[in-house]
Amino acid sequence: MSSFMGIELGIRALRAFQIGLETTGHNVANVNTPGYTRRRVRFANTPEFALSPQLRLGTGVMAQSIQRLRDMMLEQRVNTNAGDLARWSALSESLSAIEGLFNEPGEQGINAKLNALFNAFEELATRPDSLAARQQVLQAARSLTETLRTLHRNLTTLESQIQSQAVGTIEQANQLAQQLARLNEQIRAAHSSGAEAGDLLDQRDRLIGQLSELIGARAHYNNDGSVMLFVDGHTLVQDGAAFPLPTTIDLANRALDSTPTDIRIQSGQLRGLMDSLAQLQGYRADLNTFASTLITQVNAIHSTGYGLDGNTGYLFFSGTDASNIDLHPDVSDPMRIAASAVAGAPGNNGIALALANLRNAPQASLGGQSLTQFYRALVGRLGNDAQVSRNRAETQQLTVEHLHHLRESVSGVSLDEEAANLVRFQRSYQAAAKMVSTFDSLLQDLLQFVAPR
Amino acid sequence: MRISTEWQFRQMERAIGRGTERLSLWQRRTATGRRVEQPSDDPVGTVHALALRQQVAQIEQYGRNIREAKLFLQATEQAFADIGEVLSQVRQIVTQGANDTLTAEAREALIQQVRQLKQRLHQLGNQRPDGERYLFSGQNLHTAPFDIVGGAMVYNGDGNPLLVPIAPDRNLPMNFSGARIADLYNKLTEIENHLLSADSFTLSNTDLRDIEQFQSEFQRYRGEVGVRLRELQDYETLYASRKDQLLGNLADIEEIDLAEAISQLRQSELSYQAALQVFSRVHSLNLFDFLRGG
Repeated sequence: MSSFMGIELGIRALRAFQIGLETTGHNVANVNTPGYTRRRVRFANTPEFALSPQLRLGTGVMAQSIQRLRDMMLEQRVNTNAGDLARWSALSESLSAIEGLFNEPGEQGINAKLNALFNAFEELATRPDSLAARQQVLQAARSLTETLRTLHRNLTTLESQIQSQAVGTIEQANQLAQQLARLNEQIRAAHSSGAEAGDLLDQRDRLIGQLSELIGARAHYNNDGSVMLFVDGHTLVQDGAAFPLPTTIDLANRALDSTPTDIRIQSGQLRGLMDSLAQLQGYRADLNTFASTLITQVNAIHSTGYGLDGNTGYLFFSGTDASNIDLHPDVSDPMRIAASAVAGAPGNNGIALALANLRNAPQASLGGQSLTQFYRALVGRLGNDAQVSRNRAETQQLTVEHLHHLRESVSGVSLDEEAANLVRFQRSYQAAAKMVSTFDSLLQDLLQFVAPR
Repeated sequence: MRISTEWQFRQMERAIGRGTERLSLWQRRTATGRRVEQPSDDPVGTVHALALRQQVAQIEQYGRNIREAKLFLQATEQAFADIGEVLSQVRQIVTQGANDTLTAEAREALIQQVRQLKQRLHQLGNQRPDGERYLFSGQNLHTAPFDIVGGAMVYNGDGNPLLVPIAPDRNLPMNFSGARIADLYNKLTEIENHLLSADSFTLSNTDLRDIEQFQSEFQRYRGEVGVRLRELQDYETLYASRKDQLLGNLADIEEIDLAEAISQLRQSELSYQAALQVFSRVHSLNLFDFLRGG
């Protein structure tokens, strides 16, 4: 037994508590760092010293390791759910934007404009010879066609925005995948040298989280701390290599075109954007069906009637769908609007009445619904889709918040706790220092006792 | 459960965020009075509201059509009243003229009166109350219905109905054919001739009977105008109450209950204030604040 053993024990304790203090400092400093996982020093007693088989002496403490407190099962659940949240949020945002374009219910929407046109036809039926009534018909029709074209154009603009957002999402995911691949190498190198690379692992988990949100990627953790990342059957990251996703979208299958098999996207923002595109295209197709039925039906009736000029065969609308519906040049002169079913009878309103009756007439091309019913159903469907996706996003938000709470309760820094640790390590350090000085004075006493001789 | 500092702050942030969101929602609803701003606020309600708006729009249009038909029918009623006036004068003339003892001057005066009445009838028949449309042309709206050809009146109209939509299944004819006015005019010419030839017998028998028949016929037309005007009136009354009802239903769907909105606004203000207070209280609660630097 060395005479300095007590001092050495004290110094070991001082060193261990210093590490404790520094770890606390690291935790406190990172209290606001997103994705930071709190660290904890694991202390262990150093091996005993046997004075005799019956007498074994303790030799103090050492900081055995710095633990990173993270529950990997929970981590996976957070990521899966965050991916679903990103999906529903993206869809909900798009649908809310589409809703805004429709302007319903209100005076500027298609419902109001369509009814204004039918009202104008009825007014014309009441006064088939009136120039004012004819101008009103043209004005109502012009306003309706403009609204239809504007809506179509805005939907198409939004479509290309979502499209480029989707491609941007894929490109961003590919970039992050490369970072993750590089990180894998660093983590592996650190691991082989025996160090726990806490900050690298934090960075790794942040990247996996982002990739889950973007494309719904799933991670497989290796023992050395590196990860493999999958999307559907596609390996996105393995060891130090990233295999980027293709950017060609197969919307019908919600997949990315790839050989040998397409990559299905099940979750994440990308899936939400794909769903948005499919929904948008559905609404636009309905809008086009509506517009083309309007064009065909009005023209079929109008062309059989007679204008005030006594001529027949005039068309009312030009165009084929919502993108290009317009007033036909035939009716650029209001006198040529065919209100009469009989040549030379300006008081006859047969055609105007038939046009007004289109308001509620069932149409085979609209599945037996009238024009107004079909449009209302379209708006109702859009509203319902938007509401459902918003509710899904809100519910998912609660789930994710709950999981975040669980994760934070394991991994988050609590300043109260750190303050308590600070006090604990400080007092322990003070006590260890006191111990060193006590052993020191014992030694001095011994030396004084011995020296004068 | 262990609560991290980050989580504590994030939760308070979220509480405040939700408070602001809810407060601004009810501020907006109270200010605009609207409950449904976009279809997803109430998809079923929106579809219903669009249908209600369509019905309101249609009723308003029917209302305009009814006012239009009323004006036309009121002008027609006045025309029939004026023709009735002409007829009763003619009847007097016929009664006076069927007298063999009448002096030549008196007879001449009656003939002049008949000629004036014929002119008046022509004017009444060809009138355009709104300056555009003839009352009696049928669908040949812009053609004067009556011409005098060789002393006889000919009817140029087609006598076809001007149909006004006033309900989904009801198109009301708002005009009357002018054919019988021409007949009446030509009857007056006969009377004029009988006065000239002092044919008291025909005047007192055939002519008087014919005029009385015309009188009851035009009386019947006036009655028919009255029936149509009453029908219009009935629809107008029906639509007024129907529109109130529809607007009421629309308001139920689209608009907020103000009392509820204001109480919601108060509540959201209170919970927002509470969230702010909790924040200011909690953020000062920390062990570091209780430790003296030692």
